[in-house]
Amino acid sequence: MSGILSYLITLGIMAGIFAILTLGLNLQWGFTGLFNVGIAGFFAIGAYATAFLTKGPSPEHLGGLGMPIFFGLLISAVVSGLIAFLIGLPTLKLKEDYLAIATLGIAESIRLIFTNEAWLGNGNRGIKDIPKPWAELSAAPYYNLLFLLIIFIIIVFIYFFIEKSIHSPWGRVLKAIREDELVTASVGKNVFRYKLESLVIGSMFMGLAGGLYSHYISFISPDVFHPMQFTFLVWVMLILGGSGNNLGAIAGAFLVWAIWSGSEFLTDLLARISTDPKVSGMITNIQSPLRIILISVILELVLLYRPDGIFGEKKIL
Amino acid sequence: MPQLIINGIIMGSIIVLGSIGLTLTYGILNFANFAHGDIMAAGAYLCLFFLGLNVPFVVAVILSMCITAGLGILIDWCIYRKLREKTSVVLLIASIGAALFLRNVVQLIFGPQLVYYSSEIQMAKKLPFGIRIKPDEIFIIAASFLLIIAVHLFLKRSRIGKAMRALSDNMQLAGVIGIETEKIIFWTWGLGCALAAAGGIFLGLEVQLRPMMGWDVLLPIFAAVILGGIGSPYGAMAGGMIIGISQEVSTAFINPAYKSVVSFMILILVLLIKPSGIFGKKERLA
Amino acid sequence: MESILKIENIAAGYGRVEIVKGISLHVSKDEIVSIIGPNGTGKSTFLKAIFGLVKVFTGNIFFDNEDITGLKPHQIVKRSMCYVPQDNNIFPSLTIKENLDMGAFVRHDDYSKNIEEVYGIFPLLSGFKNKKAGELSGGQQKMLAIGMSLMLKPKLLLLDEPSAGLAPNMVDEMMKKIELINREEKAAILMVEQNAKRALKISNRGYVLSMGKNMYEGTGEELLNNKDIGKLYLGE
Ligand SMILES: Nc1ncnc2c1ncn2[C@@H]1O[C@H](COP(=O)(O)OP(=O)(O)OP(=O)(O)O)[C@@H](O)[C@H]1O
Ligand SMILES: [Mg+2]
Repeated sequence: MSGILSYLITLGIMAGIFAILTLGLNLQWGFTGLFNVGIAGFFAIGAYATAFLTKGPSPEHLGGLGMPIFFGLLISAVVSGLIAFLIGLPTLKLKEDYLAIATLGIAESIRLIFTNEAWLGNGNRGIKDIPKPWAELSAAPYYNLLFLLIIFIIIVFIYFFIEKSIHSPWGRVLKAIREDELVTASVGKNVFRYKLESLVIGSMFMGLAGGLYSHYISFISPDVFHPMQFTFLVWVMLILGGSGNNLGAIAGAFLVWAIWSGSEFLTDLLARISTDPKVSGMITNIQSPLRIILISVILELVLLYRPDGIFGEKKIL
Repeated sequence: MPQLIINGIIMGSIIVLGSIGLTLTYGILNFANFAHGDIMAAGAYLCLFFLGLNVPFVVAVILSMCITAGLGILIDWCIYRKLREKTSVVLLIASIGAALFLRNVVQLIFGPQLVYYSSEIQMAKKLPFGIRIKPDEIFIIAASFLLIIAVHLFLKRSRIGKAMRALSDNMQLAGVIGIETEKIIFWTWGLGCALAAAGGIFLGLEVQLRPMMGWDVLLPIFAAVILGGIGSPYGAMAGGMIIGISQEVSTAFINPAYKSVVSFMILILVLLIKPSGIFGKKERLA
Repeated sequence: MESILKIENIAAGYGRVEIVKGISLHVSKDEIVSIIGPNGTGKSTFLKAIFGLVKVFTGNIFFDNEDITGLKPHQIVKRSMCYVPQDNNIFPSLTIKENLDMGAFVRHDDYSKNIEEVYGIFPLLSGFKNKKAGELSGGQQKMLAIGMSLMLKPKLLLLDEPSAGLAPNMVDEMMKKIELINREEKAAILMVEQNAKRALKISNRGYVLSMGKNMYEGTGEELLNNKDIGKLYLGE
C-alpha cells in the first residue's frame, strides 16, 4: 500500500474516533447545554474497561478475561455511562459550571488513579497487546481499511441514532432545556432527568470511542488521557464544526484532526530535512507546544468571529 | 502531624493567593476562569526570568506581580470582554483556550523540564513539636499573610475595593447607581492576577517550576473558591486554608499523588451538602 | 412649575419586542407622580427605559431641559436622576454604611453631610451601620435602597414599587418617607405602585397605563374619585 494512502487511513481512523467523541459531546452540549470538560476521563474509562475484559490474563494488570471484543466495547460504554450518572447526580441541579468543574475533577482523578495504582493498569507503563478485532487479518495490507470501515459504520449508526432522538419528543425537551431551563421546568418537565439521560448517553459514546481507541492502538497509558489537552481538542472540534449540528461535528473532528496531525507531519518533516541535529532537536521540542498554541488561537478566533462554527447550527425545529 | 499542618498552612497560603482572584472574577463576571492556574504559572516563570537578569528576589516578585496583572487585563481585554454578552459557558470555553495558550507559550520559552529558582539547598530550622521549616517557607507564610492583610484593607477601606465587592454582589445594581463597571472589572483582573502571580511564585519556591504547575493547582483553587462561596474573597481565604491543610494532612493516610483528588472530594462534598459554600450568598441553581 | 422630566411618546422594549408603545408624561420639579396600571403592562419597563436600562425605539426623554434619550445609566446618574429597582436593590454582603458609600460612588462632595441626612430620614439605618445589608428585614432593605440613591442628592427619583411586599403598617411608613424626601430633599418623585390608593393619596398627579400606553391622567384626587379607574385598578 502506498505511504500516502496508509497515512490517510490512519488519519481517518483517529479522526473517526474523535468524531464519535464529538457526537457524544454534541448530544450533551449542542443539544442539551451540558458542559462536560471530563471527556478524557470517560474516554479513558472506556479504553481501560475493554482492555481489562478482552486481553488474556497478565500479571501486569487487572482482569485479563479474554472476552470477545464486542462485549468489551459494550462494557466500555456502560461503565462510562455509569460514571457520568454518578457525577451528574450532585451537579446537574446546579448551574452549568459546576458540572464543568466536577467533570474536570473526575477526569483528573481517573488519570491519577491509573497512574498511581500499578496493580490496576500497570501504572505509567500502560497496558500493551490489547487485541485487535479479526486479529488473524491484522498482518494483511488492508487491515486498517477494515478498521476504518468499522469506525465508519459506528459513526453512521450514532449519527442516525442522535438525529432520530433529537427529532423525537425527548430531543425537543432537550433543546428546550438548552434554550431555557426554567420555562421547560415550569411546563412540568423533569429537567434533571432529561439532563441526566443526555449526559449518560453522550458519555457512553465517549466510552465506546475509548474502547475503539484501545483496540486500534493496542496500547494505552494514562498519559494519553491528560484531561485538559485531550478534552480541549474535542471541544475545538465541536465548536469549529458548529455545536448543535451533527454533520458539522463530524466535519469539525476531521478538520481539526487533520490540522493537528498535519502540523505534526510538517514539523516532523522539517526536523528530518534539517541536517543540523541541534536544529532538528529544537524543532521537536517546540513542536507540541506550537500545535496547541495554534489550536487555541483557532478556538479563540472562532469564538470571537464565527460563534456558530464554520457550518453553523442546522435549524431543526 | 504538627509538621503536616505547617506544610498545609504553606500550601494553604499559596492556594489562598490563587483563589482570591478566581473568586472575584467568578463572582463578578459569573464565569469559571479555567486559565487562572496558568496565570499563576505565568507569574512564576516571569519571576524566573527576572532572577535570570540578577534582579533581587523581592523586586522580581513585585515586577512579576505587576506584569501578570497586566497580562490578566490584556486577556480580558482581547477575549473575555467581547464575549461578556454571551453565556457564561462560552467564556468558560474561551478560558480553557487561554489556559492552554499560556501554558504552551511558557513551555515554548522555558522548555518542559523542571526548574528551581535557586540551586542552593536550605537548612531547615527546628522548631518545637518536631516541626522543621525552611527559611523560604517562613518567607512564603509571612509574605502571604502580609498580602492577605493588604487585600483585606483594600477591599474594606478603598473605594475601588468596596466597589469590587459590590459588583460581585450585584453587578446590575452597581451599574444603576453609576459605578463604571468596566473600570472596576479592569482593576479586579489586575488585583486577582497579581495575587495569582505571587501564589505561583511561592508554589515555585516551595515545590518547583514546570509548565504544568498551573494545572496542578487548578482543582485545589476551584475547591477553595466553591467551599468558601463563589464571589466571596473571605470565603476564598478560609476555603484555601482548609483545602491546603486537608491536602497535606491526607498524605499521612494516602498516597501524596492523590492530593488533588482530596480537594476534588471536598468539592463534591460541598456540592452535595451546601453548594453555596461557607460564605456564599447566592444559591446558584441551574 | 417648570418640569424636570418630559417624555414625548416613547416606545421601548427588549430585543425587538415593543413593550412600551407610546407613553407621554411629565413631572414638575416639586411633584410626586404615580404610575398605576395592571400587571405586565410595562410600567417597570417604562422606568427602565427612562433610565437607559432598556432600549428606546422612538420618542424623546428630556431631563432638566436636556435630551437624555439613549444615554447610559452611569451618564444619567451623573445628571442627578436615580432609579431604585423593585428588587435586588441592595448589596447584601456589604454593610449598611458600605452600601451608602456605594451610593455616593460618583459623587464625593459633602459626603458626611449627605450621609447624616440619609440617617436623618431613616434613623433605623443609623442604628446598625455595620450590619450586613443582607441581614436586614425586607422593609429595612427598601429603606436602604432608597437611602443609597439619596446619597447622590437626586433631582428626580424613580421608584419601582417601593411598597411591594411590605406589611400594611410599613406601607404607610414608606409613603410618609417618600413625602418627606420630596419635601426635605427637594427631589421630584416618579413612582410605580401596586398600592394605587395609597400612592395616589400622596401624589400630586397620576397616570394610568394600559397595554404600554397612556389611559388616563389626572391629579391624585381625580383618579381616586374616577369610577372607571376605581373599578379597574383600585379594587373597588
Ligand atoms: N428582561 C425581559 N426580557 C423580555 N421581556 C421582558 C423582560 N422583562 C419583562 N418583560 C416583559 O415585558 C412585559 C412588561 O413587563 P413589566 O415588568 O414592565 O410589567 P409591569 O407593568 O412592571 O408589571 P408588574 O406589575 O408585574 O411589575 C411583560 O410581558 C414581561 O413578560
Ligand atoms: Mg414591575
